[in-house]
Amino acid sequence: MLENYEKAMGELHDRMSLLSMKLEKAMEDTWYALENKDLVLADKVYRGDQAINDLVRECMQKDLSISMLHDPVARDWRYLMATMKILSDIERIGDHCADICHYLIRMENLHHGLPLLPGLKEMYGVMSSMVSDVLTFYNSQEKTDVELMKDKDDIVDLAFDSLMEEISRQIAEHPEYARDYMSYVLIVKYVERMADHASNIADCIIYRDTSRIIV
Amino acid sequence: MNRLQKAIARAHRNDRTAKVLITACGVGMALVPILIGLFLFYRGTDTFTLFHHSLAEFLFSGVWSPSDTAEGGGKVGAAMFITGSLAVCLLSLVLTLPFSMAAAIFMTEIATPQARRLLQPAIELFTGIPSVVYGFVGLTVLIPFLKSIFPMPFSFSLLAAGIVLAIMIFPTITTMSADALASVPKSWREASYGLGATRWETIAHVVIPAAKGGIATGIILGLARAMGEALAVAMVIGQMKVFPKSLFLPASTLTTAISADMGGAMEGGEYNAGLWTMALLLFLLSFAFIFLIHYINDLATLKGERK
Amino acid sequence: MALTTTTYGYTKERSGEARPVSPDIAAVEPGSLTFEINHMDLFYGDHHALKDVSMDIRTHEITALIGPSGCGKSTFLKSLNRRNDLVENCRITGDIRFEGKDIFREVDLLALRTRVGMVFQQPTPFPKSIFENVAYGPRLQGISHKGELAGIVEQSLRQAACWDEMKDRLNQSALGLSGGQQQRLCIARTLAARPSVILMDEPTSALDPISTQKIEDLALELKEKYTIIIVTHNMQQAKRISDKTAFFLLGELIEFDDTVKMFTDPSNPKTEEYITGRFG
Repeated sequence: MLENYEKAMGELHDRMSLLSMKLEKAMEDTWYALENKDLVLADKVYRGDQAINDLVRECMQKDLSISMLHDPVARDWRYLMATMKILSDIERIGDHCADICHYLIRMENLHHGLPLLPGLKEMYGVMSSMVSDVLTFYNSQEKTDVELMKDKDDIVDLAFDSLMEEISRQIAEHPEYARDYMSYVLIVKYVERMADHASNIADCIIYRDTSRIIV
Repeated sequence: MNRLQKAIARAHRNDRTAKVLITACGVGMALVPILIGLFLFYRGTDTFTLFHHSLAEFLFSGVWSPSDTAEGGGKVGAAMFITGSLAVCLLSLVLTLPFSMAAAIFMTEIATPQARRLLQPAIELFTGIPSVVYGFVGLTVLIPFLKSIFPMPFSFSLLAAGIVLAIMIFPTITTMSADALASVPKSWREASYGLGATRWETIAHVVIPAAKGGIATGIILGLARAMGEALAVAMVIGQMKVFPKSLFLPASTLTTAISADMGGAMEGGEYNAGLWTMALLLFLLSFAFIFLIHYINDLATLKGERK
Repeated sequence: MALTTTTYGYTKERSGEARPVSPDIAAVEPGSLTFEINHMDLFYGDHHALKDVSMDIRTHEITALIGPSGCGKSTFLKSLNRRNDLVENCRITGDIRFEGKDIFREVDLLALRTRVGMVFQQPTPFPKSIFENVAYGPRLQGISHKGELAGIVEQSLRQAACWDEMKDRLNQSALGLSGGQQQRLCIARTLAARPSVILMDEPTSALDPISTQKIEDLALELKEKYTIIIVTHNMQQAKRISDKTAFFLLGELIEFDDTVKMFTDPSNPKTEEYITGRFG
């Protein structure tokens, strides 16, 4: 009976690893598209979100049926419950990548060649490293460094505030680009949301390891 | 496949042969008591058919003077023997029952396993002692002893017969009761203790009531043995052809009467016929005991119980 | 803190006096300790069956004892109402207190067994009628008035959730009932003796799932008035109904904690191994 369980868990683990890889690729591609205004790539990411959603659904299904069939307890239980929550956060991160790409395309269609906001690269970089780290911690079952996550989240929040300032300045100076800068606002917001989701995933990992619930 | 078919055919043949042999033996042996019964009926009813005595006279009349001839004309009243048998059986039961029950309870509830391992075979050994030995010991040891305590004009007595029989049926009743008590599941005792009962309360309220079927069976088997015992009783009861009037006077039973006179009575005569009728009566009584055992066992299972 | 004792006389030796009658169970203070076990060891001859077990059992809670076969959980349970007295060569050292009193030196054996009832794995109804089964305990306590007995029998059968099924066949043999009904009858019989604690030794392992569920529901209801300690090899059952769980292994008490805590985040790695099925 345990063999069945271990086998099913192994399958779930493999699919989660695949999902993590896909997500990280989507995030890389999103940044590349954003930096280089590569609309073809952006479109690819936008359409590729479907595959990520399918994979998330598959993993959720697997997680739920293992829970129901095998009656896990203690560490196993915490792992499965944490994974459910992490899956929904991963799904949101994937959606936000697609959203960023969508608004990028719209922005470029209106006005070509709007300059990249200063500080956006750093913000995206920090956020991206948060997501990578947390996915690594999840898949490798290493101990998480919570404080680090918190610090990075704070950096992202600060960057968000300063970018908002910059955007409002730009809108005042170039009102004809107002529509584009509004797209930019959304893009920056999505980046901040992605960092939040990464932070949530970290909290779920803490639950998995210590059974402490952090909201 | 041919070998397989042959093997199968042989197996079926062997099966059938075994079935036929076993059935023949089983049915054959089962026929024997039936044949005996039929024979007893044939000889035993002579008293009523050939010599024209009534059943009422046989059972209730106290006048026993059959004529030892083929013409008849005497009195065939077996009441004194019937009463004697009943008296001596009941007496032995009354004497042995307390000791049997005590021994059975001791063996199953109180004795340590080592003690039980010694005691049980010892009691079962009792049953192997031949009745003539009981009779002999009764004659040489018991009768003088009783004579020294009680007034016994004839030395032989009903009491002596009762005591000897009591000792003879003691192992039967004890082992059957002990088996019945031991087969009461331990879980019932534990449940009783769990409800706060002491050991004696458990024995009285749970164990004995649960075993009453087996105990009753033991008692009836003991009674049947007592009823059928001839030799040991004959040696101590005195065999006077009188009604049992007192514990300290001799008497006669059905069995002693038959064993004493059967050899001497003329074949085909009235006396002989009377004795055959007594034998028939004993045979029917043993049937009655068996039915009684079954009846009591049925009673012992409560209504609604799944057997 | 503990129940008033004078009503039914704790004595030092087994008394030959009139049997103590169980007082009203509601007199126990909630939150108090029903059993306090301190450094208890148990030996069957040379075999050290229970090693240095200490735990406190609270009133009006269900405590589950889990562990692999032969770990000592049933042995431990049996010690609580001194059923081990019936076993040869059994020696117990250490301190076991029931409502504050030492069960070997300060509590009368019969009183203990009346206050601490037991339900076994195999249902064990006596070969008597349903009525007589339930009335057995009260009769032992000296109650013989027919009306009073009938009242107690009805109350106990109602508490055990089987009055409706059995009220029309009280005079029929208890052995004619199904397994689940027999087990509930045994619970009613235990309740009729007015205990304050009910010990259950794998009470549902011989029953089908529906009967099992009925008995689990019953245990949860009874918890409000009684303290229940249940040995079970079924961890799902322990999870479903117990407030606290104790894990035994090879005679030792490995962990004793709130059920939710033990099954979410056990402190001892051996507990985790056992409950996740990785051994045993």
